[in-house]
Amino acid sequence: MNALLALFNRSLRQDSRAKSTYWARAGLVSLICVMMITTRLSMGWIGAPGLQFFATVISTNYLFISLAGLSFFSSAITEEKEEMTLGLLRMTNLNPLSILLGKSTSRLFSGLLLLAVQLPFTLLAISFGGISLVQILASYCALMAYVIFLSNLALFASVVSARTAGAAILTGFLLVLFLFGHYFTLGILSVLHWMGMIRFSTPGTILQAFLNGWKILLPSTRFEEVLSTGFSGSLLSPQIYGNLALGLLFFAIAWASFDFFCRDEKDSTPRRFLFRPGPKTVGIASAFRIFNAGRAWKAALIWKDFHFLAGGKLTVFIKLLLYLLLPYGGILLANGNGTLQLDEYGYTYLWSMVVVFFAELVVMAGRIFRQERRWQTLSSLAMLPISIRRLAYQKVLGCLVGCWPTFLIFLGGCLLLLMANWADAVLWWSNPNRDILHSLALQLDWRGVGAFVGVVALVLFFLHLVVDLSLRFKWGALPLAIGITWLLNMIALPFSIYSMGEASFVAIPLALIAATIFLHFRIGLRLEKIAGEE
Amino acid sequence: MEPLIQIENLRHIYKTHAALSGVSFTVHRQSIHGFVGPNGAGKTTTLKILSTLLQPQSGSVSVFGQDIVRNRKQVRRKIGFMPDHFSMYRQMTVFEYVDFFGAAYGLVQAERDKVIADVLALTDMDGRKNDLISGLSRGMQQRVSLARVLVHDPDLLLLDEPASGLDPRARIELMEILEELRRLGKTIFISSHILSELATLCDHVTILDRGKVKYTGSMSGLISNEQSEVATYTLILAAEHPEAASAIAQLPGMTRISPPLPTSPRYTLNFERGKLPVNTILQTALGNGAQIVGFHEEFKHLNQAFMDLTEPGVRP
Repeated sequence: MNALLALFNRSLRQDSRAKSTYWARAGLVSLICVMMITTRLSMGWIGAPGLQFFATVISTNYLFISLAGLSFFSSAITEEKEEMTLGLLRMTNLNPLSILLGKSTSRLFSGLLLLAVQLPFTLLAISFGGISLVQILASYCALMAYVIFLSNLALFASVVSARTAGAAILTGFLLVLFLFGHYFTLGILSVLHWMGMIRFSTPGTILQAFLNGWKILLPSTRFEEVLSTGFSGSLLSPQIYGNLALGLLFFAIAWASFDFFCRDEKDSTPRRFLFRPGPKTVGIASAFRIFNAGRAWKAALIWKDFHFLAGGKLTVFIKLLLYLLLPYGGILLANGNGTLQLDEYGYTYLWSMVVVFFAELVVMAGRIFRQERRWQTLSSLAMLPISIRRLAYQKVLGCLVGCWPTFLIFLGGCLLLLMANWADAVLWWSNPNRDILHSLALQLDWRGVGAFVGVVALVLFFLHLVVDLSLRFKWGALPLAIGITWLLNMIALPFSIYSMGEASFVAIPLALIAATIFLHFRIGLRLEKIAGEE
Repeated sequence: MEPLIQIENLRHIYKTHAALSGVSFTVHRQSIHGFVGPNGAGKTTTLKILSTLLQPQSGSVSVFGQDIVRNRKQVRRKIGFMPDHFSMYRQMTVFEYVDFFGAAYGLVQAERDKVIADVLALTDMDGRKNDLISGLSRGMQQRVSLARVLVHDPDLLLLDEPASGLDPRARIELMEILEELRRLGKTIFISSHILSELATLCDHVTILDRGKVKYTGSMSGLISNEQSEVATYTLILAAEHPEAASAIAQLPGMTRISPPLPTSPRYTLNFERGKLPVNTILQTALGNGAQIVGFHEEFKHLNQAFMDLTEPGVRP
């Protein structure tokens, strides 16, 4: 028994000694206090303030737990694999179960303790009115079950994957499938129904019942139920039983498959596509050579990051296909009858590419320096006769070169829109009295410009924050940046608008720009420091 | 010889720990200069400052007569730094890796083709140029790392523990490459723990301990006993000769003569350098009818010199 719990005990002891544990708890409680103050200030003009406050707390927890699944929980085993220390652990008396308990269950305990520490403070919501003790306790029970499910789902991904990035992607994929899978299934069913391939008869009813059962397992469904006015049900629910059962199932699978996936120590070098034609390779097969990196460009850093960080030519080719097909699939799912106009296709491609571009930027921001740091290659780059800032910009450009399918399809979307509105455009252009500046001035006012600049500044701030955090933390930079930005949006922005009124349309963008510039210089200094420390 | 690196009173502190406390030494052009010291002596900090990765907190450092802080970019073009860790893009092939750094240093493709062929031939990696770096052994990765350092043809090579973790063959081959580089006119500043190899490779050496220079100068000066008042010589005779040995023992200034080894007539002589000229010893031996086969001064081993100069224990 001692051997079984040895690692688990050690992890708990380490957690209890670490300052970060107490900072995280203090930060969380402070956040709840800020939310309480905001609720107290707005008590005069919102109904059921206690319920509003508690709903905000629960949704914040829900978001952070989901983000923790992608980082904190999913790196439990992969971090040992990446450091090549899992083999050393296995050489000791520790069996797979004790490693799983020590590496993952201790993290689960930390998560549960973070929830428990909030409870006394959130109970104050009752005094604001609009919420009962049962609702609060039932919500926390639902959250705890969700944490248990998610930590074990991430543990399974961590056992199966060779690297933390892979584990995070697998956890994210399975989580999206769990949270939104029933919507996708319904969409696919409606398309198939529209195409006449299925009929909703008895089997359809069974499927419908299955989808309803799936929905009941979701924490969001349970929160909707618990936080509705007059809830007085049980603390326990099918969602709790279901989440606990799924958590146990994933833990069991992780345990059963541990030996298979973690038996050999694997090289954690990032994978790449490298086509090597043999002496007998001819014809189309040898054409795959085109996907190799080839000779370094004059702009060597751009070449390197395009091929070895953004994925290179093969990834670009795959992206091009995916970005063309996925929005089209989405259109089909959303509009089963397929009677869309040209401009609707244009809008879909245009906006989906905006979202994709943002997602690509975010992923790249998290990886752009992390890879260099992990492989201790910053010092070699820092020795080049260029400044560290120029080096960073060239790396960014390398990543942007990898985004050209996104730009291309975005332009295609614009073209579709132009084609759909060609007659109007020609009419406007042929008007001799047209005045572009006047037309623009009619459509924009200073608040609109301020809001637009604010959104752009927020995106830039967010990307800089991801880069900055990726240089400070081994994992979890992206979820942490999402959390910080989300909190800023939740608390700082409404507070600024409330206290400053229309002036906030100028003040907020300026504050974000200042924060971005600050982060920009901090990143430069940090890079120089890391290069010197390697 | 013309100085290439000049370090004057260099100090560097990490928080409360003084890594370098007034380090001064000079490295001459086209020499192989060894840099030796126990763990934590400040060797890597010095190398990082020389390679412009760290800024000196006080003191002055000039390379090629240029201050490394004010002329960082120019200095970087002329130096190649190989750190003590394998910082490589392991998912690249050998050729891609060297080609990338060639392009990053601004070489056009035609130049790169020639340079890459040369450096891969020098490091004997031309047969493995299409292999992924992740699949290479440690010794081969070290060669690729050296090829990368050489790709922009630097005049000064800064090598931090280049032989650590290599097997004996790989170490010997690396040392051969370094000797070849010296013949090509490069200056090499090398930090290492493998003293025996440094003793044969380096013409100059600096010993650093606890952030302070304990010795800097020629390797022969360190391992010979020139500075010592008592000289140690070995006299080898054709056959054992007690009369000659007795006569030598009577000479003024002779402090000790060891008896011959059981297997060979080899005598170790200790005498005061100022009082007894070596010619007198030889004349005495010959005058007593001994046949001299060999006579030479005993040098200290670098290990011994290192142990004499550095303090025992771990730096606090």
